[in-house]
Amino acid sequence: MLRVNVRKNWGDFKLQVDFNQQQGELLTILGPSGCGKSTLLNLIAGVVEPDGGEIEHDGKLLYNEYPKINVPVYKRKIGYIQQKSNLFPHLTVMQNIAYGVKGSAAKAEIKKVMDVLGIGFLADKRPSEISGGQQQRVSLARAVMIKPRILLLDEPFSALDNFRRLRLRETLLDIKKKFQIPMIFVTHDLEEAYQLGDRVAVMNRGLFLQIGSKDEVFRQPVNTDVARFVGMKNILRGKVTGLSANGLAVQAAGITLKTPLHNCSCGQKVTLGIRPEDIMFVKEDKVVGEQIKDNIFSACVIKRSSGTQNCKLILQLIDKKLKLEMLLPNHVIEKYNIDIGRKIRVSLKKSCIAVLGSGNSDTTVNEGMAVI
Amino acid sequence: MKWLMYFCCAVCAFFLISPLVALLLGPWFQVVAALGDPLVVQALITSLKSTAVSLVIIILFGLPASYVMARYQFPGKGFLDTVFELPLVLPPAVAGLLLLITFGRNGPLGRYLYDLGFQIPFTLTAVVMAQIFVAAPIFIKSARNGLQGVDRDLEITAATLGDTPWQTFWKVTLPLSWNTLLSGAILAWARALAEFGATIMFAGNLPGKTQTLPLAIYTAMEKDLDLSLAIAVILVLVSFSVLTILKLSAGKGWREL
Repeated sequence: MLRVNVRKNWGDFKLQVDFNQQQGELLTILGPSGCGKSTLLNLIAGVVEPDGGEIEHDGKLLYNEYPKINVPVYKRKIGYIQQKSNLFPHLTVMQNIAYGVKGSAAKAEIKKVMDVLGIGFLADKRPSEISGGQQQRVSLARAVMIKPRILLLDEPFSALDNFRRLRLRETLLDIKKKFQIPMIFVTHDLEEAYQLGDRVAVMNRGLFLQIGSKDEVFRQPVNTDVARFVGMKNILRGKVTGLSANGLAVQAAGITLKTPLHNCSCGQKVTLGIRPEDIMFVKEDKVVGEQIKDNIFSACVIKRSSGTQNCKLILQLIDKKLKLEMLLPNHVIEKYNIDIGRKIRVSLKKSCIAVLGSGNSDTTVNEGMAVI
Repeated sequence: MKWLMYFCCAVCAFFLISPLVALLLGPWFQVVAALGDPLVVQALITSLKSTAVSLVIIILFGLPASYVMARYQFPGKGFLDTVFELPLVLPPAVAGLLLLITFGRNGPLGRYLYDLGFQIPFTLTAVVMAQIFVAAPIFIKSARNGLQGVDRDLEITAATLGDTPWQTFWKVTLPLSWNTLLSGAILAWARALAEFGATIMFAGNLPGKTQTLPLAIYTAMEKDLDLSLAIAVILVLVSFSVLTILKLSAGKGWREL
């Protein structure tokens, strides 16, 4: 198990992080650029020395404030992969992969690793002769060869095209399964964080805002900041007007919404978060069943922008000031001919509404207005 | 316009190449015979000895110095930078004079060295010191550029793969900066070999002791032009070889050399 509790100050920037990582776990750290994710990895790798705290792996202290322990980078056995592959340009692919291992006994192991990564045919090439995706595979192979305690990955695939990026994510999960290496994967890509992570940490301004299983973080963000990072584009501020065993009634922007239960009292202010993809389109002639009869509203499409698979709609609720962002598959848009000016019915499914902690007061959100 | 520029180019080339042509058209027989003259042989030995020692010392101290300048930040670095570049623009005669007043019998350092029994001016040591003074900055400048060109992330990566700083230097930094280090060393050596002004001021012109090839040309010219020309031929050949090696080694890794 890895235990990290470190702090580092750089002028105004303060980093303070405390977390544990289980054996064999892949933890993704999600956050905007400049939030301190890369610095955190540098602290764990030993490239940058923390101002205080401790880093421990399986009972061995890698860093400690008092008494001072700071195991140098080259003794930590922590693999570190960055956005650029950092292959040694004067060595062949094979020499790069064998760089961190001594003796010829490693031959079989090298072959195994190269097979898993599908780069056996590149052995005699120079790094400059292979593609960006291949370079990153070689870089992974080289790090895996040293049998690292942990593998740190700093946005390793973000310089690659979409196709290669998706393939490499699969490969990374293969590696994790075959070699049982715990990994910390830093990214600003929501999809990537969700697809790869066993657990997810959301980081901003040098702090972990939330860390937990990905369902916890993506379904139940602790505050509006986290909600925004994990893709809840619709943030509503409101007040609890009713409490029952089944849930809450919350009044926000002139509408009343049924939401799941949350630890709060009547009259208390709360913030709600809803993902665009969780808002359901309800056909006009459809008889609404018991399950979704709550939270159905009529709205007018005021904006539409198409993607390759989905279409983003901005809705204005009829006779209300509330605007919502919604995502619909292109085939639905085509089938029902949904365009600007169309009046449609939508359902804000109760189970998909996240009641966010009310502790965070975010002044950038207007009362009851979705921020789009 | 284009022709005018070609013409200017031709004028430059003519001016630079005509002395070499004159040397080639010279009295070859006498020149070759003069190569055996004791003055030439002694000067050649003095030059080779002194420049070899200078080069070793320059690399031994200059390489760590350039590493410090390339990698670390510290107060006074800008000043140190100027110090390292000063000898590049300082007239060699001034350099020699300054060395003499520093290490001479009454100099601030020379005084104590005299008390300890070391006399530096007008010895082979002085020749070496004069050469180091003018040539070391050339190596440091070049080596610093080379080391700065090595991606810091590659060194960090080597460390995460288990390399100590020392191993990282030998396995990554050195091979990747080899070209610039080599050309820096060759240029510094050529500069040391050509050194005249500082040497004559600080080490004198004593045949068999401190008289290097450039000083021997000066001495020989007064009595026997052929003798001077013989030495000139040696130095021209050396210069050509140096440039050829530089051109050939440019862009090649160290395993290919």
